[in-house]
Amino acid sequence: MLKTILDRLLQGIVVIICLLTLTFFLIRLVPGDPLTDEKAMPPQVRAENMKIFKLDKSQPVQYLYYWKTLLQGEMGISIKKRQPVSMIISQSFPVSVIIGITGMFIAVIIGIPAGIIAALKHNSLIDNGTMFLAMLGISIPTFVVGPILAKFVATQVPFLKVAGWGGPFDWILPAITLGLGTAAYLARITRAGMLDILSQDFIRTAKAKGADQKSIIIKHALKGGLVPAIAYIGPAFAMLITGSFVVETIFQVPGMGQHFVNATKERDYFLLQGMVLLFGVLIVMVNLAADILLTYLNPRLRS
Amino acid sequence: MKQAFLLISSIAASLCLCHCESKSTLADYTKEKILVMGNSNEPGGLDPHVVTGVLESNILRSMFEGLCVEDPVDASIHRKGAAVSWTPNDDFTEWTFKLQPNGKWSDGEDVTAHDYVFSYHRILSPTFGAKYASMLHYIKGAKDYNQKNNEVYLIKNHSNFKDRWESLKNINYRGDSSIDKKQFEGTKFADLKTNDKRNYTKAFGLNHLSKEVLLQIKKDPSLFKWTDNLDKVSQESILDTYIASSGKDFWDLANVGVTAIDRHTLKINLNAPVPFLPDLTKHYTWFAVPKHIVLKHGTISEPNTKWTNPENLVSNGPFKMKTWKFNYKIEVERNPHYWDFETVKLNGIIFLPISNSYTETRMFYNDQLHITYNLPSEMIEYSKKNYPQYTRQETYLGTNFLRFNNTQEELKDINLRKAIAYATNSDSLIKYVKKGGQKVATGITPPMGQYKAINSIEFNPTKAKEYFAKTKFANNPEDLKITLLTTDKDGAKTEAEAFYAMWSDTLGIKIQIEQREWTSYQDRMSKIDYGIVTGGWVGDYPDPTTFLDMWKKGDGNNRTGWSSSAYEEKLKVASLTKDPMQRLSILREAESIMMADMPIAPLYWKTSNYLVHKSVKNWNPMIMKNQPYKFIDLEQ
Repeated sequence: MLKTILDRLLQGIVVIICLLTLTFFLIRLVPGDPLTDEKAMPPQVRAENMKIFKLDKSQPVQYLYYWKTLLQGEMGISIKKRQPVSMIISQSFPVSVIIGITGMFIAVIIGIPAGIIAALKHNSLIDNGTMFLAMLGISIPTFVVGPILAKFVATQVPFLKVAGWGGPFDWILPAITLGLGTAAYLARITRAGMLDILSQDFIRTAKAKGADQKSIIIKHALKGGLVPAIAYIGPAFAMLITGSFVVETIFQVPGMGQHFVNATKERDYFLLQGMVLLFGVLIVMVNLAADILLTYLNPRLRS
Repeated sequence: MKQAFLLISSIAASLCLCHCESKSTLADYTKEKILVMGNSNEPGGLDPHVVTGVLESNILRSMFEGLCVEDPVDASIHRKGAAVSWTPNDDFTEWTFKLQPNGKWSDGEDVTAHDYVFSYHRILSPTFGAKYASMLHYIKGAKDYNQKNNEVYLIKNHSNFKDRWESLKNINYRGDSSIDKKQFEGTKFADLKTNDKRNYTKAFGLNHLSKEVLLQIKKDPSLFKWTDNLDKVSQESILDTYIASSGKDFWDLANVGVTAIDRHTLKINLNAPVPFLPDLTKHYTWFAVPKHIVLKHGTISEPNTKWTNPENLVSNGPFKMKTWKFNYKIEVERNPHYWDFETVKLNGIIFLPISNSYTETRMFYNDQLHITYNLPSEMIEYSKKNYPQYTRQETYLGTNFLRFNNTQEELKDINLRKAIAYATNSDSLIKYVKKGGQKVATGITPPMGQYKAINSIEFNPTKAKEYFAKTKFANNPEDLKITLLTTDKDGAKTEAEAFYAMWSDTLGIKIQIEQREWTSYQDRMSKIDYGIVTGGWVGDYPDPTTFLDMWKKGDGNNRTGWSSSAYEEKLKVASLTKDPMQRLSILREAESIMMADMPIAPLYWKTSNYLVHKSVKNWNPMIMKNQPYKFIDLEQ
């Protein structure tokens, strides 16, 4: 087990190095640079700013400088916002984690029970109804759900705001908006997993032995039936934390998703690299955690 | 599974506990006299010498104060700011500012004339790289110092070379702006081929070569193109002078026209008459920064130091920094050390970086904001109908226009440019696309103060057709292939389609629309890589030159490839003219010269559409939307 974890960690490090290298050179291929501005800079001012951010060096040299900064435990300065990247991340990461966890919480408490119930009532009205709703949840994008919730729910409920960040009540709508799509996927995946398990021989045997329905599902079916759902939760969780640009701007949440998109748009090289580094680490870690959990659930994976 | 749930919910619960904040409603904020404003985005820093935008200006104007301050009602009046009085000499080339005797920084230290000298030294310092240093080029000697025109100090005024200046003045000191310097970015000089090395030294000129390059030239003088008949000895001694002074700060030699006569008297000497200097001092580039704080966190020419961190930031305005949470909010509070503390009515201002203007509008309707940054064009009609008392539509000092690529074969033909300009129906663009009550522009400069706009263009299909008939595409308009470059911002596509329809209806031409995301669009525009491009300009100070200076040859914001020596001559004459009215009329003539060539097609003069809550008092329309916060009040 330990060997597997170490192995995966090592792979993860290689993945992150590749990711950083690719990002570093790809973003520099895109037209424009961080100093491109609406009001043009006089050439000598541009030259000075290139020097300040070491952009006047050749790309391989810049790349080495970047690694030097990283190894010193820094991520450089956001050229557009003139703030250390580490500060930007340290302020926005907790927000994204809150929204991500709450969103995932909502996705899990809606998606998994819905999937289980649909599987148990296979081909019934409940099953079709749930799956219809799930399809709807997958198809409607967040930029539609968000404003609808803001317009019709937030204005009616006294403790909810249409947008803004403050107390835990402000987490609710963004988290629902973010979690609904994931809930829908989870419901479909759980249903498929459960249906697969419920048709297995060992379930039939349990039934034949006279075990009651409740214990069959909880003791025997769930453990195997949830495997696909858990495999999905790992990356989905990372997605919820990182990919909430739309939700963040609709509800004015000071999270990380916007920095990722804006840094790309504005060619804010160091901020983008910092974001990619963080997302890379996050995705590697979450996948590793999901793998460990799966090994625990599925003995066949242990060898 | 159960454990996982437990873990998640316990984390959520603990976050809940530590993150609880009571929900304040707008009424609470009003009662506490805290103004809540939408401010569109996170600022690009809070150093007045680094930033360049409107949203940064909104925050900076609350914390810092210029020598003069805007009047809340009449834009032509200058109120006392950090200065109690300002006196020009006869021809407006020398101004004396008396500072507030009890002017203090927010940490209690005195604001002195030395802070100003330090600040102007800092923003003009060539290695600081201030993007907006040109705002101070009116000051005597400032431009030479800022642009590193070092030959002025090293050769022209230097005792060793002074007498021979006539024979030395033609050396390439300042570089050749026609060579694209971007090609050298990212390559070491030593790695270039000999020919490229020569090209490099030619492009940059002696003033901008690093010590190592100068040393290489010393070894091999042929790497630099000297003037003919300049002897080796002179070459050597010039090089030695440059090498010896490499990296030196020339401030003391530059004699920049900023002097601290005493602790509270500041004298500013200008290159030419600047009757509008009090207006300039309201711009953040002219603000003073606290010398003692800036130097505590770095050197004078070092940008991006920690002095602007919320815990370090010290300012001289009505408010001071309270909290700055990245991309969440910036809150300023009343500054107890402010000289005019009694006048300040608000206890604080919260600036929210709301980038999504629909979200911002929703927040306003949901009673979360006092003032929005803007109002999306689709919401203007709705707001006017449902919230007439809140909806503001005010003239704004800005123009939108189309740039023509004056270097492109087809558009070099003035008749084609005129045909397109006359075929553009700005009125219907405003009515059906923009919907913000903008005014049809008849020139590049909007009317302001005593300056009346020129009448250079109108929508006139007949004229458009006449001009088009003179082009070589008169009989086969479909052969004309030009692209219209635009952004991916809201409404950009609709606008481009409107142009397509207008030009196709009147002239029969079919343009190609190219949408590019913001940075690529800017990049293409600055390389003049387009046919026609949409664009705009917002004035930095209420004087026509803020709209006219950018069309000079080689100006980074020209971006059309157009230039005219007659135009530049007029601007120069205007800049030397003492009489303000005469000066404006010469500027009008300059603008007419430019518009006769139609290098751009003016579309409309901007308006500002936004929402203001009824509890906000003294928020009057201002052409630059720079309402002085100290007069603003909140009442239930």
